[in-house]
Amino acid sequence: MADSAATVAMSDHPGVAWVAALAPIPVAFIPEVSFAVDAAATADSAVNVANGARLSQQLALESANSAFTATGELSEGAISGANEIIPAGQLGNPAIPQGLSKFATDTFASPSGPFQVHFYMNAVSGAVYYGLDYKVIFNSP
Amino acid sequence: MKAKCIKLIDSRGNPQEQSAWLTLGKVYHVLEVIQDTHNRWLLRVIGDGTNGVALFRLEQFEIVSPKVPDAWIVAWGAQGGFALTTEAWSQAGFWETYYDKEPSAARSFEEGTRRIVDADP
Repeated sequence: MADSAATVAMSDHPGVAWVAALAPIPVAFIPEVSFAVDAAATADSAVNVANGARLSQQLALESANSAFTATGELSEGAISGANEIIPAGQLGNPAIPQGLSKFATDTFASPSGPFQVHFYMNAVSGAVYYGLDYKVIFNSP
Repeated sequence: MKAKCIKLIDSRGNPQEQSAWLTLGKVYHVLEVIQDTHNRWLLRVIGDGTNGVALFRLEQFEIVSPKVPDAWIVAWGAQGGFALTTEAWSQAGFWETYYDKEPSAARSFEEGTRRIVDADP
């Protein structure tokens, strides 16, 4: 019987079991297609949200990785996009070789939040120094 | 003092069409004027977006308001160099603590910035 089959199909559908309580209402009035589509849309939305979160995490990870080379040094893009923050001659740490300035990279996204990398470079020669105080600073306090 | 950005260059000195730090034509309050030990002239301004405060070469700007704020003093570096800056910011190690996000340094920065901006709104 077509009507019974339609009712079972809707009742069996996850999240719409309450349709069985509508027994006095002729099945013809129950918008079977609409329920099916809504349920499918809900499932699709959940999958899209999950995929969106995964994609966002993946993009953040790729952004974070783009700051570094495989050996842990800064990528050329990260260095060229960086800016000086403390000039040569004004650094407080006497262990830093003379002539170096402190630089901060552009902000990169990461799964743990946006960050910049601080490093030392000779602003005239472009030589980068990784020997001391090479660190990641997260933008949030 | 205020300066308009007229040129974008990267940290290697190469010209850029766009930058995450500055915008061509935008006017910035100058927080410090510095001559470093390489005899380069630098301006400290608050950069665009989330990158924050940084130094930029003087040749990237045109000075549109030369007013010197009362908050500035002349500071001579022990290793050479010179700065027009606030007394608090001229203390040894101040900028390290600021960029390491120490709250007392952040408060000092906000106070100095307010005085400089208020002098030439």
